[in-house]
Amino acid sequence: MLGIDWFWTVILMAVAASGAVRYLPILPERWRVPASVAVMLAFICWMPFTIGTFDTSLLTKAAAWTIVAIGLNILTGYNGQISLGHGAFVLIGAYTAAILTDSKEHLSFIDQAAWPFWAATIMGGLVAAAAGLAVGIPALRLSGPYLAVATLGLVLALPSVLTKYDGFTGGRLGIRRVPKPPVPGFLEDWAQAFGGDLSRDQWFFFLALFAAVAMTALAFYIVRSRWGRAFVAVRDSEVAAAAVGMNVARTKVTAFTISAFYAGIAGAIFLFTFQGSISPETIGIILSITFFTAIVIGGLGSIMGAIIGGFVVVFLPDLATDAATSIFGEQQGKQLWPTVYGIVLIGVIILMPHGVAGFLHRLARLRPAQVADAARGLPAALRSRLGQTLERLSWGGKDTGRP
Amino acid sequence: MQILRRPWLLILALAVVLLIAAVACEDEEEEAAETPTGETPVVGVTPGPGVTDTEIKLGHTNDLAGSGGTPYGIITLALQAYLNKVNDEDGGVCGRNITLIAEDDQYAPDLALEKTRKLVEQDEVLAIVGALGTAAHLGAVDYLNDPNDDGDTSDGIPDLFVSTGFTGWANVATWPWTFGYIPDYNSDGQVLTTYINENFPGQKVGILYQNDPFGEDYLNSVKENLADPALLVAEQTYEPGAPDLSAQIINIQSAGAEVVVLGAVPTGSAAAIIAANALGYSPQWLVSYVNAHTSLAATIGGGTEPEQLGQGFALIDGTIAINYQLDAVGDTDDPAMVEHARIMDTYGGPGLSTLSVYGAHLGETIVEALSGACDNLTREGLLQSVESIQDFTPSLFLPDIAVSFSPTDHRAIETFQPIRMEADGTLTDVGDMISLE
Repeated sequence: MLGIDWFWTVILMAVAASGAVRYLPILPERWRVPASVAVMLAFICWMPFTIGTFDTSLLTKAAAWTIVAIGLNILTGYNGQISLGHGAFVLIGAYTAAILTDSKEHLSFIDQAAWPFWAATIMGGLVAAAAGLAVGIPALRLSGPYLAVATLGLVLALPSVLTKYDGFTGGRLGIRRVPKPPVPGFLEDWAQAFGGDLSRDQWFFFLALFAAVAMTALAFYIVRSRWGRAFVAVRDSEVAAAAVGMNVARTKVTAFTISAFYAGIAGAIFLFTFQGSISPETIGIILSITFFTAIVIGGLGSIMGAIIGGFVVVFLPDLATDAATSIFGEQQGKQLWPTVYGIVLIGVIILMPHGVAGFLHRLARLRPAQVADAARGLPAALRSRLGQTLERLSWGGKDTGRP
Repeated sequence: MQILRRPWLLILALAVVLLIAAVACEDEEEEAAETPTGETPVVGVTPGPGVTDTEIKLGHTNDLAGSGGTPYGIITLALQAYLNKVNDEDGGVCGRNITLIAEDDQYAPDLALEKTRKLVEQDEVLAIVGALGTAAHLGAVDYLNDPNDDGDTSDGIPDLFVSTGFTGWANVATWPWTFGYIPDYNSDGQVLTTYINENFPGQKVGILYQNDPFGEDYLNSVKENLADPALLVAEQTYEPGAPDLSAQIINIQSAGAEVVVLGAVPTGSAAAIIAANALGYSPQWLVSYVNAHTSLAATIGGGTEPEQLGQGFALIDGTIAINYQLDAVGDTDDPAMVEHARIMDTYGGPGLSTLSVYGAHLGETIVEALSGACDNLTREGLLQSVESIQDFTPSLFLPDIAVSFSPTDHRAIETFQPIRMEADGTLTDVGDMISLE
């Protein structure tokens, strides 16, 4: 019915249930948000046991991309700097983690013994952060579209560099079959205590989920801290921020570094829980730009927007393909899905200027009376809007003096 | 309390939950009703995943919508049209219809892995066929050869006829379930060099190659196989997409090269040939087989109008390349080509081109592989069937070129026909087949 499969049914149930808890009258006001988050997490933890291994792996990937999106949103949404090249930091994080855990030949002076995956993940984040710092300082001289193009250069250049220094990057083939983290014994025991069995895919999912939740919590802390307020102040007006004694340059470089740290962690998580191998082309320019698209669609300057963005990266193309195949038929749909995808992007930007998160926020604040008012006023508003448009379009219209 | 001011939200949310739960229960009932109707095979080996009494499911990944910047989605259309013909006119294969499930990987490694997992775990296909793109398929190849990553490759999934020239696909020790198909660039370079050794002995050789692993394959194989390495007088590179290659061509010309190898894609080859023409330099060109003569002529002439093509063909007159399949322009009278045109027309395939021919003979080889496994339609059975293919010539191949595999050799084609591109747009076979076996 409606072409909704079990996967999406569970997702919708999770969203609806956690939304209901958010407005549950029997709960005291201050418990509602934590309770709705808890309900959402409970659903998410249940999902890998009810959906298939493939859908579980998609959620795992979405969790990794959520981490990238949160970091990018700190940079773009909160601090106003545009990076189209965040894929480069993801790649740096993934390569660092791969080199450290793979003991075959790479960098034998550091990793004679393979590092545990968690240490390699943190190191991946730190190396990416160092790269972010190195890029962030020259980026101070650039802003807006100029910075966007410069960061695009990063993601264009990095694959060639990785191919060139094949002594420790494995060249074009990359680093293959990185040892994936084994299922820890205590989790297996837990699963057995519940009469179940934890598969590798489920373990990878929980690992990625843990990382995503931890990084989300960290992000909430950052944006509410002194630094977060400084990011926003600098975004809104560098002059004003400087006038009240803020160090604008340091604030911007910090945002860049934190954001690259997130991308590096995400790269390592992506490697360990999903891809298993890393080669120079794994994170390409398209994916890199998609990260940016995702946070705009999800909602700039909103952690929730970034989480929605991570899901957008993974699931929107598939949903667009489903829609296209139901419109154009199986074969045509698979060739024409980018059309639907593009229309959805345009539609979201026009109808939800603050992204999906901003839209949901406004929806939640609507009062019935407002809806009724808006509905009553709608025909008149449409007539007036249509009249204005026609007036501007018509050649014979009188000059209103407007540009 | 705040919620009392907007109880409608609560009611709405609860209604949504109930509605979804109702839909979900309905779905489950439907599934429960469907499950017991699973077919049981009558005799013989239990069929593998994706095989029922009436159907064989195969998976395929490609840059279907072209968002990866390639035109190769045409191959999938042609392959699908050919398999439709097999199902409709030939009664399928092993008495079963072939269902091809194609997924768009956008030429990206992470999506190639994602879609391959979808095909294997959700659609439960018997095998993956004709996966395309070296970088993209590198993302999926380890998974196909060892899905649970335990180091034991016995549970692999057949990864048949990968459509890229990467030399590594034939590495049986690492990837025992993977089979190559199109000639790899190393073999191509080797054949071109052999042709130089035999036909232009003692002449000075120059090479212009694209500065990436594809181009480097040509440089390395020329260096390794040239009879007298001292004859290689010029090595020039270009960056992919570089519009003007005059500087490189001047260097090659001033080094005195009489024979020039182009390890280049059509845009690069065209820029080199145009630059040489402007300099009045006309060496003997040998080009990578990725330069189909029609696309090369169109790139040089600036379009596909007859006049533009004519200009292009005039400039590439005498150029040597290898070939293994029939030509969509020159061989239109060949019965196999007539049949190909009919199949593409009847079953919704694309217009005729090098890629449509490719997709169709890929289909022929897939059918050959499956029909050798009718007694044992499992993944192991299919693997054995492919490894026992000997001297199979798809109808759209040149007559003397054949596909052969063995348990130790997963390269498909190891014999090539050198051809010369003529000013009238046709191809002429020159010399004997060159075999690398």
